[in-house]
Amino acid sequence: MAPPEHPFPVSALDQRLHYRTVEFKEKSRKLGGGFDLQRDCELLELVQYSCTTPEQQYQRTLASPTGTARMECFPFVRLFRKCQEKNGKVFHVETTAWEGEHAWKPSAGTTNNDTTTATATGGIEPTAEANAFANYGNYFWARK
Amino acid sequence: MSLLRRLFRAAPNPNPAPRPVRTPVSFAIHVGATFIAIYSLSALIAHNWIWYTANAGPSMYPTIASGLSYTIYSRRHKRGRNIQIGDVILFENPIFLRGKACKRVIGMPGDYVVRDPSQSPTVGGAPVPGITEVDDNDNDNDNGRVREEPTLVQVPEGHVWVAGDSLSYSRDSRFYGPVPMALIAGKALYNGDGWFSWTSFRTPQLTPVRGPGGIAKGRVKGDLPLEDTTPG
Repeated sequence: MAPPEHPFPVSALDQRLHYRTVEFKEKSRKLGGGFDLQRDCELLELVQYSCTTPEQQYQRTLASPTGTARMECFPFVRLFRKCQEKNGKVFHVETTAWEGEHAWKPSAGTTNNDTTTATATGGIEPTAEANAFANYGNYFWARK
Repeated sequence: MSLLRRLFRAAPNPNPAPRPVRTPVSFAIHVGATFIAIYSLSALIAHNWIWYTANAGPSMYPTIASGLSYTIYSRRHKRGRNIQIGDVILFENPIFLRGKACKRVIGMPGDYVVRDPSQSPTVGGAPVPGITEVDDNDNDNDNGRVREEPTLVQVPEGHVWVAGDSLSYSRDSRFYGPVPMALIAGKALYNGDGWFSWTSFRTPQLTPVRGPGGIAKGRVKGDLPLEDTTPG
């Protein structure tokens, strides 16, 4: 069983970069003063694909006379930063959601409004949504 | 010809050695020892050097065919030795007993990766034209939707974060969390149909960015029967 995850939002990445875990205890990385992820790290890319989702594929299959549907796959470029600590250790940071075309930008003024509408419509919290196992447990034991 | 034969012919032995006595028992021992030697040698190669496996499933779709294909994988990388980001690895499937899974490494221990919900078609909720925009047209009230802030996780020690290439058809670390390195069986070297078309994974898959607008690969289209679309 995988160890518990500690997800953190993208906006906290700059602070979280300075920590790593050694034997499940938090230690600080030796990055030096004024460490900048964009300036000090090499940008790398990895191509994955985002294909027609199963629901869309199902609709297309129903519509087509032959029973097969055309599946389209669009390339999705994941971005990585390769950084080096002062003691020579190398670590990677996935910056797909932090920079480039898929970056997340905070919408000014609407963040407060958005969270209230999400809870009003019965949406789950992002941390709970991230954990599929937690959702599975909530099916049996209701959250108080 | 006759000259060669004369050169390599054994010299006539004046008193030839008697033929060895071969009883049925010694014959059985001889055959048995040969089989054990062949089996041990192949097991040594298959556990420590190189082996192949048949694989199927749409989770790596444009890179690896969704139908039946064969993967040659290096056992020298078992238990995560010398694995890098971008490598295609084979590991014991954490959700199906005695099954193998073939996915791409996204994060090594200590790295930071984007944490997506299982089988999400995008990374970090980024809009993908043609995939997520179709949904927006269906329900009009979603058009002004604000994108939720993506979350990241740090990959724990001794684990790797894996993801299939076909993001919406893959059950990977987004579903069962980081994969222990002890489950890694090897690194894929070649994948092919078993005959003459093979793709190599031996070059580094994580490449420097090619500059603005330089998308590495174009979009892929293909016919796929519906039964092939169960996530793998």
